[in-house]
Amino acid sequence: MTKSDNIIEANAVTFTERGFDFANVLHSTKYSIDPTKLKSDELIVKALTTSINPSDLGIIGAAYGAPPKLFHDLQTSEPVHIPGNETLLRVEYVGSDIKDYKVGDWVIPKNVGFGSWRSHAVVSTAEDKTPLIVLSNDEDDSFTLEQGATIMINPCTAYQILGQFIHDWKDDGNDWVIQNAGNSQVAKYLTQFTTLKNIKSISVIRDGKSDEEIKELYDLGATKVITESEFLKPEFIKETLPSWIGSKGNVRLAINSVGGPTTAQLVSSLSQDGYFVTFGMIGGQPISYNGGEQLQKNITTKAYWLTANTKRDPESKVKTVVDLLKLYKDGKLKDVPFEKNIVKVGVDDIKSVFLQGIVKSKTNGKQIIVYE
Amino acid sequence: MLTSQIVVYSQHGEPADVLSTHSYEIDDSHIGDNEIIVKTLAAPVNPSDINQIQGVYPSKPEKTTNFGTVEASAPCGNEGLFEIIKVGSKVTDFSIGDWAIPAQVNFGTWRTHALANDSEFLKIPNPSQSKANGKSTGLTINQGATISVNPPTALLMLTHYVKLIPGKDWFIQNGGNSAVGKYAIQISKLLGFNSLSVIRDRPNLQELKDELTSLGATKVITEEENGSKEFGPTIKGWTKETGGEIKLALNCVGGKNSTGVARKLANNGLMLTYGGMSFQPVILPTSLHIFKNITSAGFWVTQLLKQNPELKVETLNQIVEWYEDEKLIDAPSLQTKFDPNGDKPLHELYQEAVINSKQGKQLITF
Repeated sequence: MTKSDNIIEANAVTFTERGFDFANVLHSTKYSIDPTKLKSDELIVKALTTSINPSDLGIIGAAYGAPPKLFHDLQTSEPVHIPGNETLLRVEYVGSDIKDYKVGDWVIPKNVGFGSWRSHAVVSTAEDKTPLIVLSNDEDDSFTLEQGATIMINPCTAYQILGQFIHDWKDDGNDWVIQNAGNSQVAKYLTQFTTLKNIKSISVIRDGKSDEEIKELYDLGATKVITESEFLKPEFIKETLPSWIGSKGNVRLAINSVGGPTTAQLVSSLSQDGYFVTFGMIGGQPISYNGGEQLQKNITTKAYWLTANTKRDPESKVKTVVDLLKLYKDGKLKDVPFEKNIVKVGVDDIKSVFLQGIVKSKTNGKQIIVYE
Repeated sequence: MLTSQIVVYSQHGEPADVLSTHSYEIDDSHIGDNEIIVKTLAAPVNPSDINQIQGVYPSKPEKTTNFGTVEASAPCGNEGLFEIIKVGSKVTDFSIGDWAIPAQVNFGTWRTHALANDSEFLKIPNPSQSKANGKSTGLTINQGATISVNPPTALLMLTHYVKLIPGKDWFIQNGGNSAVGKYAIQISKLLGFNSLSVIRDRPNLQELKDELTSLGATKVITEEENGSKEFGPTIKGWTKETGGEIKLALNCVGGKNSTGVARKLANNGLMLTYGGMSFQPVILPTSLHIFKNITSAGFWVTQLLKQNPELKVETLNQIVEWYEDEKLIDAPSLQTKFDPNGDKPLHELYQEAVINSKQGKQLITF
């Protein structure tokens, strides 16, 4: 043991029944962890931050098919589910056989379904020797808490979407990406990655966004920003787009996370052999486009899902995070702003803080819980 | 000198308005070493031929004055069966009397004769060659004249992208009663795949189901059943029985129908959209697309085979073999014979055929 062996009083948000009535479905659960009973192949981590992501809510509400795993170690009468995936953790204790981690490491879970809405966890290395990815440590000040808090999902999603379908991006300034939901968190990261690779980008945004919000996208490197109503006009395909991309322009990737009328126009925007990729939608409006255009231009329609990629190949996640870390540490990638919600462990009711975060996430963008 | 007649257009528009017949001379006593002269046995009307004339098809023949027209004109027709009537001194792939089909689209098949380079044609066996090869039968004129588009479309969609496990796996298709749909049913049977074909409800439903079943269809369902949630378990029961999955969907209809067939796909399934350039939009439910990792792609036989000539030869050889072995039944055509000495010029015959296309595939024989 490397620290005074006090019993840890921990808190978690839990549920046993699934549903979208979060106030009733979710519970606060208190449990304790005794570091003196830590097995040699286990470690104890403390949460520094936890995110509330739309996919977490989908899992609680059973909009996703697979039920999340059950936790038996929370001293509850029945095993419980813990929501959440994205979290930044600090290693507090390591068992005697642990070689890959040390106290003070900042880590994130490698796999999906960690159950991140909790203040502390005991992590076993019995099945997977490296269940956590090390990002940083207490001494390393080249990497911030804010970057660590949000690295797991949105930047990974944007990074992988850009790399998974097209492997031969050209950096001559003629390759283009077009995306709807152009001011979403993922889109903001994607815009930065395209800029780094000298790929041009078009971000379609909802009407009525402020000049500030539009300026933010240009500051991140967006080549063009266009409102949905301008984008949906026939002139966009006939005149605007050709004038933007020029005769050598090649619109290779269209990214959809909205559905509905913009999907057909995204397909129309693509050049020969382009990819139309959808991600991040639960329900919503279907994808609909002209099949003749698909034949003619040999367009392939694909889905992207980070969770599925990570389940199929956990190392792909590790590789992505390593690449992202380098970009962050080289100062090439800006984290996208989010709102913090403080929970004082042992003082505040953890469920109330998360419920407030859920409500605010509908209007104020991404919500992060910070543990104190 | 040999006089050839060819159907051409100089302006895009409706075939009724813009087609004309042009006659030109072919000097058959002085042909190049690698040239051949062919006479047309039959050439059908395909939807893409009409779309080319209308100017709405992405691939079309160049306009040229090579036929001796005053205005630059483009020839019509993409599919056809030809007989070799003369060969140049260095031609080794063809002999007089051989049957041949154009190697590429846009050749212009609505004509009586053509002078061409030998590389512009692919040989297929004529009936006497098939018999000499020990086959019980040779190709019919209809089989030869309609071999280039629909049968390869069906065969390649079933084999080129997804590996279906014979005896176990399934494909689903809408437009089960279309020409390609019927080839797909037969070919899947020949390859051991299970087929699930969706057809429109109609008064003589059972009759059509019986017809498709006799062609080798595993299961035939209506559009209503395709769109019904309640019917889902029945289909799951069928696939469970064979121990396979529905890995491939063929869509030539679009709209709700495309959603219905996409919904039947197993995880990582592929939907191929093919056929006309104008149909209802493809509609994919998003959550299904994401959670089942379904891919939707276009299939355009012309484009695929242009990039891959060897695949074309391989595919055609397989179709020819099935025809010779009487394992594959061709989609029938309504045939009209062209009389070169008659009153009706060739383009009028094709204009009528275009109008009659709604009643079934039209074939002009020569």
